[in-house]
Amino acid sequence: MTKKEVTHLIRNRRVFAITLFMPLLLMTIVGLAFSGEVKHITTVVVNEDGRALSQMFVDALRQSETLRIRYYADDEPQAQALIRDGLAKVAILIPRTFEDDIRLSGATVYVLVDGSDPVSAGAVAPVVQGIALGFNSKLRVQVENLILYNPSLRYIDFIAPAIVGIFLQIFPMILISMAIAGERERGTIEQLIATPVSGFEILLGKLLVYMGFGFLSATSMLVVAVYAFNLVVRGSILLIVVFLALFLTASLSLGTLVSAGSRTQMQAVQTVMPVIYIMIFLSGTFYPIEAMSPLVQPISYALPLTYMIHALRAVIVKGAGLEVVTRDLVFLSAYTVVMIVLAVLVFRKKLE
Amino acid sequence: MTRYVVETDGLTKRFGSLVAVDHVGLAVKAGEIFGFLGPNGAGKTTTVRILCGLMTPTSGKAVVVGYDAARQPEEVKQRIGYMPQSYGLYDDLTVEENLEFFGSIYRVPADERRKRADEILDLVRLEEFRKQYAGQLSGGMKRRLSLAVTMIHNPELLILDEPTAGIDPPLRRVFWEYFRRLNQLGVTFFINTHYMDEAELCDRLALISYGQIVAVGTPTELKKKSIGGERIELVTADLSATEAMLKDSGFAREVTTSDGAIRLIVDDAASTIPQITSFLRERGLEVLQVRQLQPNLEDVFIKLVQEAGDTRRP
Repeated sequence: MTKKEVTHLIRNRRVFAITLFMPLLLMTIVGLAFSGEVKHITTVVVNEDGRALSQMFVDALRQSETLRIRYYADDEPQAQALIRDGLAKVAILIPRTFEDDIRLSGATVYVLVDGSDPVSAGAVAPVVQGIALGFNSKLRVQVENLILYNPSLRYIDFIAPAIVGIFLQIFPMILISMAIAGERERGTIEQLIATPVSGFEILLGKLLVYMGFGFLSATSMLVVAVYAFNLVVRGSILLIVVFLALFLTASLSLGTLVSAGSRTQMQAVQTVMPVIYIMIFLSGTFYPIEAMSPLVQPISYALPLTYMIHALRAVIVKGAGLEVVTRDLVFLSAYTVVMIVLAVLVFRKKLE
Repeated sequence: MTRYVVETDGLTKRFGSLVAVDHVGLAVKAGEIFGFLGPNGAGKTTTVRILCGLMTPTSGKAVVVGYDAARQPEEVKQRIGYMPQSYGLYDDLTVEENLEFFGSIYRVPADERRKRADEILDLVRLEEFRKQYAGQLSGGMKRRLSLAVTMIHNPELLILDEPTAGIDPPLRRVFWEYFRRLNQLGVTFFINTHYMDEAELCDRLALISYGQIVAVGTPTELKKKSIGGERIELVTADLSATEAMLKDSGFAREVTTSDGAIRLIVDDAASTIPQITSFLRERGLEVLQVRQLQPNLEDVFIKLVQEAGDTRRP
């Protein structure tokens, strides 16, 4: 009996591959994505003092692995703009009187964090605190958090937009690939393509239905987040809708591609599973991409979900406008076009 | 002039190294019931899939209802009805909804669609089940619904891939009654089958084996062709003497004795039997028993396929 089951398992290549490689893949991805502390958080420094002591403090900050100082701004509004545009996660403000204050009663260094990413935000404060203490323990140095967005650092505000993105990536993709593979599995595809209806019409019919479904689910998720969990939508609804439509189309097209390689619904789901895990863990849903291993970062930046989540967080939590999410829009548009073209090419009205 | 609704020339389909359909040439006349007979795996399904525009041939050409099936498949599809071998309707739609859906994608106008659905459901006797889910129907009823769906757009040619496979004999007869009735209304049939009794009911037959056409003709013609004439069996008191006499007589092409009877192959049994009887009586041998043997199509098929195989693999 056991021998027979093992034979079944090995003969079913797809299942066998999944059983064998899924656990390894999953743990490797999670390990590479979440291992160690949060590192390389893009930081902007505003050094209003500029004298030798303040420069020494900046040098101390530079030694930290947690921070990656990418920008130097002249004043606080400039630094805030960098954070709003998503170019930096943290701003460290060194006041004009820094050197004098240290000599007198003690200085205060202000740390501004981007509350739409509580993981990074939470990691920065203690690190800066530590650097400050090490820099000059005799002189009292304080770190204050001036949280720009999501002032209460609520995890829900961070995670809710991401969950919408994940849901729209996964469910429409699974549903449409199952719908198409289902036609094949039940044998209805042969009867269907024996009619003069075009392949594009068949595809379009399915796309429209699941597109409607996708919008309905996204709306209901956001409604629950807003009314039950006090998520504040700060940005333009229209911009959100544009992103949802783009992303849904891409996700449905990907589902069509998956179905092309699957004869049964089961196979379709099995093919989708590994992709889903990679997407969920590497898209920056739970953990900032900057903190992930450089090995997996290229994967992260190749995933459409990464851009979708970035855009949704920016628009919903920060109220960002089009200029901030242009990069996301361009990437997602290009990706969507490629996916549609591939899906239409792959979904040929033939039995071969 | 005879109009052909299906004409193929050198039709070939390869799957890797397997030649599923090998230079098939067919001509189906408008208004006939054309049977495509062959064992499983002979290439019947692949051939009809090409005819229906569902597969592209590797080489060769198929013209169906006046259109090239590879180049203008949509034109072909609009004008023919295709019933795949495997049942392919939507189980979660009712009988009526299935007909309605297929009617709409064949672009039959809505009012005509309803009228047509009523007629067809009446023909295949499913009108009392019209509100039932297709998934709840019995196997035979599913097949009938399948047939109904292929007719919703009033096609001039019905291509049926083993329409009665797995159906019990009484129901198969009912199916053939439908076919005949529709045929009288002017619908041409192209029917794949491996049932010999069904093949007998076709106007003309093509025999296919290993992807190649072995013979084409009416069932009677094929029988004649396979045995080189008609067969007579007779019994006399002295079989060996009779055999010797008949061998010299020139009445028959072949004379053999087996199982206590003499078997002859002649050109025309009806006229030869009286001649042989009087020929033997003149020589003092009374014919005790004589009859024409009706060969069954199965033997014919096996014989023709073997002969074809012999010539193909010398």
